[in-house]
Amino acid sequence: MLSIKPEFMRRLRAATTVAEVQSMVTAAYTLELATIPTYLTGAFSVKPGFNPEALALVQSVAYEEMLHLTLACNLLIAIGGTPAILDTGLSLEFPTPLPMCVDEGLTVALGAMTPEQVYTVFMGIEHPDTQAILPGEQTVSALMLQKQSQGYESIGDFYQAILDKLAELEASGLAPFGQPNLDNQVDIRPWFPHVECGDGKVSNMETARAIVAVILAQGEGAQIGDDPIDPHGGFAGSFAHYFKFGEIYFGKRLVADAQAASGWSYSGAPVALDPEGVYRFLPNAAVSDYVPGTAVHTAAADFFNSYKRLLTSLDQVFNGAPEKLKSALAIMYELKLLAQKVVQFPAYPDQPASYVAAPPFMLNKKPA
Amino acid sequence: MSYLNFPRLAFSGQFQADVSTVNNDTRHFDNDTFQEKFQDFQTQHSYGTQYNGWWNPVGTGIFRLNDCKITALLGPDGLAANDLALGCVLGNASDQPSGKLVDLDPDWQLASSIYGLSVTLTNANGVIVMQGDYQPNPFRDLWFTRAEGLRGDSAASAMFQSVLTNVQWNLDAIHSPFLQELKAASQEGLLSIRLTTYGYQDAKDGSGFTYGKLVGAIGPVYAHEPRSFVLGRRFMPYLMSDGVASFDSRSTRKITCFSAVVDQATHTVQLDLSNALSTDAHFAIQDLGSRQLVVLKNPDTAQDAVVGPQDYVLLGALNYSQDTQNILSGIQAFKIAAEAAGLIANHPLALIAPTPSGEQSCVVIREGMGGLEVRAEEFAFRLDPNHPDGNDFESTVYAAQYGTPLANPQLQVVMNAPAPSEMPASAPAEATPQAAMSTNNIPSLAITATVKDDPVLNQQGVVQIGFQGPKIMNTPRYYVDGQLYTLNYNFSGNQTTVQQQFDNYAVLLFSTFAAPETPSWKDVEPILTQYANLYPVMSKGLFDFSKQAVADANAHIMYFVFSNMDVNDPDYMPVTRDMSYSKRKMLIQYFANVMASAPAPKDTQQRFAARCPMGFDRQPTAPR
Repeated sequence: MLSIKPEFMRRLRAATTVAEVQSMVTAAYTLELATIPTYLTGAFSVKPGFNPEALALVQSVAYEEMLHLTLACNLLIAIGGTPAILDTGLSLEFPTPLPMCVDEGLTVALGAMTPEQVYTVFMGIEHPDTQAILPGEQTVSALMLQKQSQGYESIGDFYQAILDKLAELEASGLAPFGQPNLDNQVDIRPWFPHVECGDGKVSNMETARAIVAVILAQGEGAQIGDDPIDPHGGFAGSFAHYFKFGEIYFGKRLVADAQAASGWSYSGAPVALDPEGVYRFLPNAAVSDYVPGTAVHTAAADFFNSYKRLLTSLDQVFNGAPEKLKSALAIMYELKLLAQKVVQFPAYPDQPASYVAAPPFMLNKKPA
Repeated sequence: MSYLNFPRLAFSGQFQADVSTVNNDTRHFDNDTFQEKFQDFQTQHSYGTQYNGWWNPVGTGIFRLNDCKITALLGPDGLAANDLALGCVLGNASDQPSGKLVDLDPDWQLASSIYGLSVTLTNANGVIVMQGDYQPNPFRDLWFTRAEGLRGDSAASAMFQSVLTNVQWNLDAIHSPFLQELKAASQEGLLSIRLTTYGYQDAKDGSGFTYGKLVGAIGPVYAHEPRSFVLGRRFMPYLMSDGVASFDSRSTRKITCFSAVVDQATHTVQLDLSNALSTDAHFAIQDLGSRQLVVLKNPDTAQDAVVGPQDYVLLGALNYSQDTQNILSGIQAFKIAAEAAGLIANHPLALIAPTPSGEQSCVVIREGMGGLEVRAEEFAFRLDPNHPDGNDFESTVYAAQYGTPLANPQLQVVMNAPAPSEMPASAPAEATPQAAMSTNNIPSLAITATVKDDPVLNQQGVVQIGFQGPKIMNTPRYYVDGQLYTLNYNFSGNQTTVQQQFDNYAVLLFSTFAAPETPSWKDVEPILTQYANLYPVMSKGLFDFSKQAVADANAHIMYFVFSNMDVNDPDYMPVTRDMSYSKRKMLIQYFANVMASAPAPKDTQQRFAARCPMGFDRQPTAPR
């Protein structure tokens, strides 16, 4: 679970200007953006024809994160900010604690979708902020205990603090939504229809609360903090990210179970995660990991180039050209196809039994 | 003309053409006889080749520039050495999907066309200083014997020439008098661009698989000039057989056709040899020995004739340096000697080589006899009886003599005889596709070509030819939609000139297709199955849209892909160009109906899967 650095919470609560809140919302969308390479790397690590349910689950989470990114950017635009998707995307270095999060908490690494990666990283990111014992756990999780003992706050607390601060600034006459710039915001309905927050645009406190509710419900689940917990993401039949990942990790669908302390258990139909069907990816891959002049380097560079183009096109989407989302979508096709080319190769041509080349989301390796 | 004018920017680097090859064999279009192995890479046996899906069944169709640096800036006064444009890089758009390279039809793979390519000129700091959209058109002057010692696509070479439209300049970001001049010189807001591509690597295990060499040039556009070729001095090699001259397709003299212009302002002849000189197996320009550019005093001096110094005026000697190819984009300039000045406008240019004795010379290659040239601007297109506006096409043809527009040229268009499609047999024999081979150019009366009378245009040496498709077109190729027609065009009567062997019209005429009002899965399934077969990069890499449950689950994306109607848009899927208007409309209708009738899926997994390329349901999960 994500523990926010106390200094961030302090600064947010002490903010007196809309500009300060803009920088906080920037940190929020950066966090959402950082989850995308994380989950996509997991998705790309699944071999064709294997582990279809697990693949579908992680892909569904990846594109819900894209929705969260979109909503957070709409919020930023509504309070006068401008998302810098390209620069932000290029600045992400893995492995890393997520933006704003404590260093001694969760370290997010890019890697294959192994049970370890699902449990430690994916479920770590999405772990709900709750004292309740969750399905699959015997006791309150270690991360939760750490958070309690250190007094850390969660991403939910962070978003709530943003909303509180905006309400406070509004009440003091600063008009944070004075120029919501609705034309620059993205109408999510053609891409994410039937979401509770309608078109996903923000223009006042009510719409701001609505989009935050969607982000938190999809990630952690409804009624977080309640005991027993409801694993649904607020939409009938759909589980929040943490529980989708739980289904992968525990290898079974989550079903209602009166015998379980939480009322739910992973005891339904099987969800395969056959290790034979997962590539042994080079962790935290960068283009610089591959030997220049080799086919794998060319494929890796082509992939990274398409990732850059995707970020560039999204940058335009959120900076005055929302209609360019069509172009971004076409680039996403390419991204996926180019990823498939990268994974055909061993990472090191002279060590074919070692790692498989992973599509790189970084140009250069993060310095140790 | 155009990129051969000044100011001219030369660049060189690589191109990538990740073309898809399952659709290279027409017989793979037959669903009934399709085999899974047609999606595999070809394999080599000791007794021959098993073709399967040929050499790149997983191709994405992507075409892009790679690592192209500006190598020279040329103005009328020579090279501009200190201009910052020299540090620039020519590349692709930074915010769009990649361009694509697409064949017209499996029965005509000789007019591959670039779509959706947007070209950028970027300064040393990565800032875009110019961007333009490459107007789609096919390559020309394709020859398969350029690289000696190699065979197939690796040995081939071709030129793409077009214009950049929608050109945007950002010259505040670079202090470049050269680029300022180029912008000022070019008309209609366009730029002329030529890409010469060769050295293609089609061996899957090579580190440069799907990449090749590229040398290019950008120059100003002048209004009223053709955009896809240089109307100038066209050198054309030929072979005589029974008194008839035909194009030397085997390039027996190790040089193929090329064009040149006489530049009045600089008193030079500019020869574009980027595509014309043979190379060795490593794609280095070969030294052919002495070849001198001359003006022949007797216009009837034929190729292969022996001539002495009194028979010509010497302009200069060809050079074979790699720098000329790689830095100057293969363009060589020759000063027009005073003695030639009065002759050059109406006497043929030629390249001569010394005879074995060394005392005389022989004509290796010359301008077409009579200096005649006739070339079509648009020569590969589609006709569609299913749409009132899609069933006719107008092609503009230019005629010139010694580079000067030829007034009132008399032209003819002749359809070629029926010809069977030629597809290879595999080894072992049972791996050969079992579908019957198709025959092209039948029914022969389906298309009419009419040379149009327009006194004003004709006086300028420009003729328009109108092509008309039939009211109804059947399916002479059975399992492939429509028919491929090739038609030759030339001067009529005894003025015919030798043309490059693939410089003819190629027309894909779609079959008439009556789409049902409310298409059902069984109506769309054959089309989707065919595409799933032909493009495994889509059906296996993304999702298998030949299965109804999967196609329907992804209706939103399918609708989006097929409904993008602008053929020049880079998002426009290549596969939609293979489809007639009514088939495309039917697919759009089918998926629109699926979307309208499906209940809002409860599971966000299914809900979002339908809208995002990342989230395809390979096997849609059961609702919970």
